[in-house]
Amino acid sequence: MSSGDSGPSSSKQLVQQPAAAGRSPNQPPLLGAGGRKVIVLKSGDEEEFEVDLLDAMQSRTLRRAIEDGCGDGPMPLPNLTGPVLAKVVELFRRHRGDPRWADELQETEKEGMFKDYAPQKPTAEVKGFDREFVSVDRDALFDLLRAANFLEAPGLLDVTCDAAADAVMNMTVEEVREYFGLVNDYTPEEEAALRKQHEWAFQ
Amino acid sequence: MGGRWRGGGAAEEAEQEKRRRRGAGVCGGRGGGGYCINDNEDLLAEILGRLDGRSLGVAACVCRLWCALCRGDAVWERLCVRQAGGGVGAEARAVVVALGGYRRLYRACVGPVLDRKGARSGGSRGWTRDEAQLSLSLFSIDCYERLGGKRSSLMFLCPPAR
Repeated sequence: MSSGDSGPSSSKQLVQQPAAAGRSPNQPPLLGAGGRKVIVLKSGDEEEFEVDLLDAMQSRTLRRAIEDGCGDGPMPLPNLTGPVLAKVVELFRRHRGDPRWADELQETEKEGMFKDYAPQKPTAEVKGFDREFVSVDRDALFDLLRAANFLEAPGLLDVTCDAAADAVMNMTVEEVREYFGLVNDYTPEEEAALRKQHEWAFQ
Repeated sequence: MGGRWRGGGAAEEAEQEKRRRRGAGVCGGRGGGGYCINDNEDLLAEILGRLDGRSLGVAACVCRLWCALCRGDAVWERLCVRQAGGGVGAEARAVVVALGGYRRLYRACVGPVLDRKGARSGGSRGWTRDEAQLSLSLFSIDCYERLGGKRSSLMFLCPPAR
C-alpha cells in the first residue's frame, strides 16, 4: 500500500452514506454542537475512511478520543493499515446495535443520541458476516487482533479472539508455537515434567 | 486535530518494553507482521479463555507465560461457565474456590461429564440448574476424598479447605 497511488481519489471507497441517510432527520444533534454525523479515520498509510460517528463509538479508544474533542479532523491511527481499517469500519457498520457493545453504550446515553441504536440480537446475516470477516490467513488475523486490542472494540475483539481460539484448538504444542511464532523457553526437563502433568490433554 | 490524541504506537512500545524488562514474552520474531501475541497478556488471556479443556492443557506446555495464564483460575472459570452454564458461575464461586477452584472442578467433574454426555448425545449446550448442583455435590465429595478419609463426617468443611 503506497500512499502515493491511493490518495484522496480512492479514499472514499467506504463512505458510509447509506447508513447516515437512513437515520431520522429529526435526530438530535450528535454530541451537542455542529450536527456532526461522521468522523474520518486515517490509517498509517494515509488512507482515509469516513465512518458513522455512532459506529465509531463501538471502539472505547475512539470514543475516548471523540469525547476529548479529537473528532474534528481526520483521526490518525498510525498502527493500522488501510486494508485493516477498511475491514474494521465495515464490521462496525454491520455490528450496529450489537449487544456486545450497545449495552455498554446505552449506559453512557446522552440526549437520546443512541435511541436508534437499541441493542438487538445479531442476525444470521451478521453471524455470517463475522465468519467471513475472519476467514483470512494467519497474518491478516493477527493484524485484526492487534487492531481489536488497540481499538478496544468488544464486538471486534469477540470475533477475532474466537477465530484465534478456533485456530489453536486441537493443535499440538509445536503447532501452537509455530502458529504464534513463539520460542520454547522451557528446559527439556521442565517441558517433559509439564507434559507429564498435562498428559490427559494429549490423549 | 487535538493534541491530546495519540495513536497506539507509543502505548504499544511501552507495553513491549514493560514485558521485556520482566523477561517474559519470548518471541521468535515472526508471527503476523512481526507481531508477538505474548507482548499483550490481556489479549492472550482473552484467547485462552475461549479454549476447551484439552487445548488449555496443551497451551500450558507452550511457554512460561502461557503456562502461568493457563494455571490461573480465571480461564477455567470461563470454561466451566461456558460449558456447564451459569449454575457453576458467580453464585457458586465461593464454594468452588473453597473446594479447590475451577481448574479442579473442570478436571474432576465438568470435563468427564461432558466427555460422557458428548459421547452419547453429541454434546448439548449448558446444564440445567439440577445438573450443575449435582456436579457441585460430586465435587465436594471429591474434595472430601482428597482429604484422605481420615475424618468421618462433613464437619471437614468447617475449617477452611486446604
